[in-house]
Amino acid sequence: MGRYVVNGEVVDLRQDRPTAADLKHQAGSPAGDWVMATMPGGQVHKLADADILPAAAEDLSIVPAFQYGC
Amino acid sequence: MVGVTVEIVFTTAQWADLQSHLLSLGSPRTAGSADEQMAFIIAGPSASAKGVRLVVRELVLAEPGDLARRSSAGIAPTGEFVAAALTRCRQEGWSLIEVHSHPFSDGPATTFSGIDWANDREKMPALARLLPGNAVHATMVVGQSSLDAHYYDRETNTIRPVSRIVVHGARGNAPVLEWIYPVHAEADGKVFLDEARHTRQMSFMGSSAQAAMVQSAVVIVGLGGLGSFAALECAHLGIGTLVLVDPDRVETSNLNRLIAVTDADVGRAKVEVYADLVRSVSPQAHVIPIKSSILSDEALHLAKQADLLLGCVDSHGARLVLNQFAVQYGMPLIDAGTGIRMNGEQAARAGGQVQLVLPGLGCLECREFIDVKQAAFDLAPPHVRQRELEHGYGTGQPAPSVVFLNGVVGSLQVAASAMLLAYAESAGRGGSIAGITLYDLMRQSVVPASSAASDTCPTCGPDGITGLADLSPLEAAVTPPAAPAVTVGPIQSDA
Amino acid sequence: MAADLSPAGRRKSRLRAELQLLAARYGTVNSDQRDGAWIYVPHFPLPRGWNKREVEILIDVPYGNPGYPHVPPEWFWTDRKLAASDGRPISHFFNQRSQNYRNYADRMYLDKGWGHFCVHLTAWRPAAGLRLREGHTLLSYLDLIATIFRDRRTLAGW
Repeated sequence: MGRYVVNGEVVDLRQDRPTAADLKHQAGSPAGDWVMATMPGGQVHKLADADILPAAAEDLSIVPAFQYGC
Repeated sequence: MVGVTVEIVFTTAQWADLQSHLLSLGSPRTAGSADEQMAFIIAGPSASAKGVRLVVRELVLAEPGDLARRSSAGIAPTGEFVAAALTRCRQEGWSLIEVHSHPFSDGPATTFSGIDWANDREKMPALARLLPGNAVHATMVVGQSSLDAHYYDRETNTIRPVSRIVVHGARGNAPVLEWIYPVHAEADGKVFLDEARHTRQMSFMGSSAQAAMVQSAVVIVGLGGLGSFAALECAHLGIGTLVLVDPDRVETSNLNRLIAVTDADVGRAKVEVYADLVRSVSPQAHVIPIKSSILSDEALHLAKQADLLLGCVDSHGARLVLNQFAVQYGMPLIDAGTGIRMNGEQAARAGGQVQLVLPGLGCLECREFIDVKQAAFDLAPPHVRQRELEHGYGTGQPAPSVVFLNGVVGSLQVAASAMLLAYAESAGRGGSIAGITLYDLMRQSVVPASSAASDTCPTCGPDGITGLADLSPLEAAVTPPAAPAVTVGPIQSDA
Repeated sequence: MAADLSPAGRRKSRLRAELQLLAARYGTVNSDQRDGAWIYVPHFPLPRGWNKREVEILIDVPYGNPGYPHVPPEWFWTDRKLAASDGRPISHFFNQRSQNYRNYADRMYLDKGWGHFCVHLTAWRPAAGLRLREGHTLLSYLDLIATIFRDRRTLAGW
């Protein structure tokens, strides 16, 4: 349970160990979006829906699914 | 405008709402009471050489306070109610239809009364002239089982009958296409049925189904593997008018799956090859080959006049265009696609699907069927596509494709087309078609599925493009925009 | 006010509505008043690891019909002088003239100071105009851009 800053906005989650899917649901995001966690040290991880939101994440974002081109 | 037709196109939901309002369906009626009701209909014009289709955008149902008079002498709206509807149409370009009911009229001959005619002769010319450019003014009268409708023709200064009302969409999950003829619509003349040729299907589907197919105009977009089946099967069925749209020429690598195409056809335009084949199968058919993409003026102009679009394209950009066109112009669309995905040298997945795009069933966008990455490339302006191609976009091997997969999916698409068209004049007598049909080649299974409209879809939802028609023409992104410049600032090191 | 239902009119009207969402997060945001073909964010904050604290962003808005929002944006443009603070090259970022200099993109964008990141969406569920918070918008795309700037391991190879 707690407050998370996602895409610069505060999202409250009531679950004890909320998952990426919980976050998307609470934020009202399309189910196909990706939850990205920025970890200390600058690594950005894509979380699977069942992954618990990492406590150490510097920030979280929910973004449309994407790929780098060229 | 002699020979020009005017039609009005409703969704099933709009038609149901209108009937319910006009005929007070479900509420008890007292004999002799004045039950007449009226409404305005806001519609987008779809103009072509054949005439104008008015694609209904919105109903403006009269409340009691909107009526100046409601008596045995007829029903009349207040000046304010008329002015509000007119202003909206003038400012935004809509056509305006005024409809009222004769709820006491129960037979097959509901028509305008003497009072209705007097009102229309007096008011229609003035009101029509207040509407902008291509907009049309029409009036309708609706009874329990029949209706009549006419429009004001500015060129001849006469009031002429509306040719046909089209209702398309769904009731529950069942796709619906209905053609309703106003009582005074000019008859086209007898439909010629070639019984000797079609007797084996007429004993299955009936002669009125055959007549409906002979009177239908179908546009087939894409004459690749799927489109080849669609074109020839529609020809065998006896579809009256076929428009074939494809920009490409036959290549040797097409010969494994373009039905009836030979070595001699390599290098010829696909639409010309199939126009010849269709004419040989069905000499009565009117066939128009268009060697271009669906976004050409010529293709769009003909598509506007059709009764049904068949999407047989492998480009998701083209699919998005067809989806948008179908919703915007009130045109039933049946889209088909196939795919084979390999896992090394083994086929991992192979199959296809047929999808109906009709109001109430959702559309290709809200079903999330469009490959948006491919569509964004297909529909990008030329300078972006050129840059991406330079960087290696689309240089992979073409996907595998085989005739028997196209044959199954193509035939499922034509079956749905035939069922939809065949019962357009005899609603309720046809079989039920699934909104979506999925074919799995590896499992040899055909599975029906359904989807519902989404109320947040920017295309087919309530906030979408239904009825916009010519007010928002489809066009490719070709003219480059002028981009602003970067404001050059000092380089700052990060903290 | 009467609606301009032409493709450009509808696009500009949609952008005006979306700019209100964007301005709440990013301050002043401009859009193309003529064709509705781009939006411009002058002050886009950057995380650590870049040679600027904030940067200008230009996003091309698909301007055919069908166009935006049915067609998603792809790529985005930023200051071609943007660099990693440690000087490493940035993947998927094109800020040099191509061999085919007559390419329109080079003349209209590069020479005006823009380089582009090559990014593509693989899923897109556009919001309806009256319910902009229920689906994707350009705000979603800017959220992606912010995430991409944080993804220095992919971009700057560390």
